[in-house]
Amino acid sequence: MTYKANRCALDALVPVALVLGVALVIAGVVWTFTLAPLVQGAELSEPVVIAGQQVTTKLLLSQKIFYLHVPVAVSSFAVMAFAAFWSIRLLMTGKRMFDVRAKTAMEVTLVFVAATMISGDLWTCFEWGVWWVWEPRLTTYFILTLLVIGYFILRNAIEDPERRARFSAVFCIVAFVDAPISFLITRLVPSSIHPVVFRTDSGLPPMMLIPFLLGLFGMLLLAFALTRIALAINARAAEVEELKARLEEQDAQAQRASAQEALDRLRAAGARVSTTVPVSSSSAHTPEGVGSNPDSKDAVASSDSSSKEV
Amino acid sequence: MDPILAEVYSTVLPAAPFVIGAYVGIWVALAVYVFVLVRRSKRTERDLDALRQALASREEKLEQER
Repeated sequence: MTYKANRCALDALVPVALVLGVALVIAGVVWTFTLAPLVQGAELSEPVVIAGQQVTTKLLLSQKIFYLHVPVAVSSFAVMAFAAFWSIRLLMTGKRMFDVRAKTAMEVTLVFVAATMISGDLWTCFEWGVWWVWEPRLTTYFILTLLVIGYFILRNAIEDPERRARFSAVFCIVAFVDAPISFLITRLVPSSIHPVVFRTDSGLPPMMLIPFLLGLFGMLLLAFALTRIALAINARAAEVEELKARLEEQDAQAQRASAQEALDRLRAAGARVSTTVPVSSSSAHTPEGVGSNPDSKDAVASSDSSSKEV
Repeated sequence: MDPILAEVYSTVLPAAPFVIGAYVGIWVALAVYVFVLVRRSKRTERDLDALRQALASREEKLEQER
């Protein structure tokens, strides 16, 4: 199968991925708020029986943020991995299409990073009582956010497309190094207070695991669909920009050519005049000297008429 | 309300605005990006039309010159 056929096959999957992604996420959200049980918090002063079940702890609604917060964060890592991959491909091949792809993937990454920060901060604010804590996970993810924003600042700062593509690719690859660090930091630093969701002994009961997985796969499908749609639009926009630049270049070339033609005609006219009109100064033999020679009024008139013709 | 039940649910209601805010925030972020994409797509179409027109008028001019 050729590269183009692969691309067409991927594009054909976009509507399916979009619809399925939205459906899975909605199903996950509905499950989260209807069937998934509330997690248990602090101990109660005395146990109580609710709906035939003994409850000994407070119930936490805020944990429900994680059913969508974690999938969004994982999607941001996944899309950024593609951005880094396409940046490497750009450096290997030098093809501009990989620059458009990497830029598009970074755009989608920025959206998912923003969504992660919004949802995460709201959880932090409720559970920890502050909007921000400089703990390892939050700090590394904040650095990732700044790096993603920095990527676009860098792109806007460089005008030459070739340099912009190369510099941005290198920056993207370096920025991506922070993604696995941010993902693994809660495991690497045991003192981290951020909850660890992805682990083999998480002990999530099926009624909690299923909505989480629905949200995760739904968000990944949404990220894929968004990236492909954005890629199609950005590729087209890049083509239009390139066409515009080429047309402008053609216009400029045509203008330069006509100006050169006019200059040549002027020089030829000047040369003709200098051969017919006797002059005392040698400067009159050069076209530049035609206007400066007080004896060559005819030449001036002739060159003027030539320039008017132009 | 039973004081024990009130204690059980004491963190549920205060958390609701934060949970709703988080879910809405995620969808708003995605919706804003979709909106940006739609606008960009429309602008590209407009530019493409302008380029087509420019090309047509240029070709017309060339024909006249011939």
